[in-house]
Amino acid sequence: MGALAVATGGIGYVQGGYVVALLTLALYALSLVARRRRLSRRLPSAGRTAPLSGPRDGA
Amino acid sequence: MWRDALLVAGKDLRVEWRSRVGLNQVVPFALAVLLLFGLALGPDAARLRAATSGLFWVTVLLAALLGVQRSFALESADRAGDGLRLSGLDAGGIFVGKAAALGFQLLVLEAVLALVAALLYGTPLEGVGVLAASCVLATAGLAAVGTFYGALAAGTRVRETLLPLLFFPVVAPVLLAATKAWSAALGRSGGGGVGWLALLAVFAAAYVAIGTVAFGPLLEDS
Amino acid sequence: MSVASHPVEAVALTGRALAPARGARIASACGLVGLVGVVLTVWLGLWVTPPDAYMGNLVRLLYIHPSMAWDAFLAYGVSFLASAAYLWPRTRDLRLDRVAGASAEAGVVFTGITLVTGSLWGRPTWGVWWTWDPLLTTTALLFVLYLGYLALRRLPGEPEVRARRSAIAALVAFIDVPIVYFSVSWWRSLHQGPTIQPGRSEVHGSMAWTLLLSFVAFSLVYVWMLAERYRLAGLQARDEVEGLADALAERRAEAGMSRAGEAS
Repeated sequence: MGALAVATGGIGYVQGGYVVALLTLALYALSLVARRRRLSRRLPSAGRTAPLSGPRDGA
Repeated sequence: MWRDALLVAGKDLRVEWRSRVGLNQVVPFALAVLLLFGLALGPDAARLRAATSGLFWVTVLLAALLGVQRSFALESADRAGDGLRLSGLDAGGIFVGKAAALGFQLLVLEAVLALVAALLYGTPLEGVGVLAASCVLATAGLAAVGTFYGALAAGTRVRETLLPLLFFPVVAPVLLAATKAWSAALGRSGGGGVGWLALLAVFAAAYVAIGTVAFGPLLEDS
Repeated sequence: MSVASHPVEAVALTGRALAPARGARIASACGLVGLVGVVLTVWLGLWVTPPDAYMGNLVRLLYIHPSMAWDAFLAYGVSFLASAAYLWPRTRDLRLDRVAGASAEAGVVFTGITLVTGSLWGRPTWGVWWTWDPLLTTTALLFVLYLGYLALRRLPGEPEVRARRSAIAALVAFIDVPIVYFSVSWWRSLHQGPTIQPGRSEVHGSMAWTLLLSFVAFSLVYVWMLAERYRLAGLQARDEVEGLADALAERRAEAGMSRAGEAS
């Protein structure tokens, strides 16, 4: 049963999984950075810590 | 502590006896839910009989939620909770007392519901000993978790929506174990009844213990 | 109770001492290495490694799914430890509360991904999107449990009150996990037996390396997420305490300077 699905459509599920995982992580990371930027702009003395560069997008 | 618990439990039960909110609202609600399940699963007698234990316990869970909300609505009305806090009663005692009062009401409700479910779904009540034991143990767990989360959510503005979200996932094992114990007693699944009772006991013991210890700090906050 | 002094003190620390340049640099280094690792994992996982003899191309999901699950449990573990440490009077500190919250949020993100990727694996393998496997069921309940925890954290209120309430709730939620797992696995074992073993195939060679790399890379991503969320929580706490008016006044006063620093 499994073998048939793997032979035909398996790769679609794989790609779907990668897209979902990486997209979710990337969006979450971006939202974190954006929220922190916005807040540190509003709270100036905290804005002095070095701007972070991180996984902006999950490739 | 035990004396304090008795006092608080007595107070809650007296309030219930005078107001009859549980009797006039929660019990009819639970009966309505049983009827709705009957409608949803259709008139197929075999299917209803097979699902009796699960439907019964889901109904109890829903009613328990209402019970918890009622139990803490009592305290927030007229700032009665502040009085309770200032009374100098032991926090663990207050927890045990409120949980006991809630548990007692739930047990009465369960007795009524069990009879009605047996009638509605055409399930003869067999193995009454296991049925009763699982009711007592499961109710202890439900009342402990409910009282705990009730206090946690009580001070907040979103308690009506927050409480179910906190309460239901945590009591998932109670639902599972109590349902299986009932199924075993009613002859719907092979064996395992005693083991499920043990699981219910462990759950109840764990949460009564945690609640007794953690209730003090919670009460300070709300 | 030191309600009056404590949060303010901790908040004042947050701006500089608690998010020192070194910590931020370590975090962003973790983030960068993690990002490179993730890119490598994807490249290796989708193009370089061979398909498995049994699972075919589906084995490629192995390079993201288990590491997500691992990250989720790691995050919940950190959250639990931080909550317990917060409740311990000697180590009580609002920073720990922020770590607990930050880690739980990361945990929820990873749990969500775990569930989705697991489901995508299950569909072609077992023919169903979902099965009542103990691990799956526990994970799903964890997801809901911690969504509740996050909802509780989001309530407004005194920082200390909220921190204690959340810490207690986190402990209570965490205790439930073994009970749930035990009861669900027992439930399954009583009924019937097609338990699922995802790791049926032998993993070796480039596949093993890719798997290992995925664990390292996503763990680093978790560390970065934790640090970033933690800093955000510190800022949010300051924002709550100081209020908009203060912030605006301060900003006007320091506008030129901080702008220059920030732009770089």
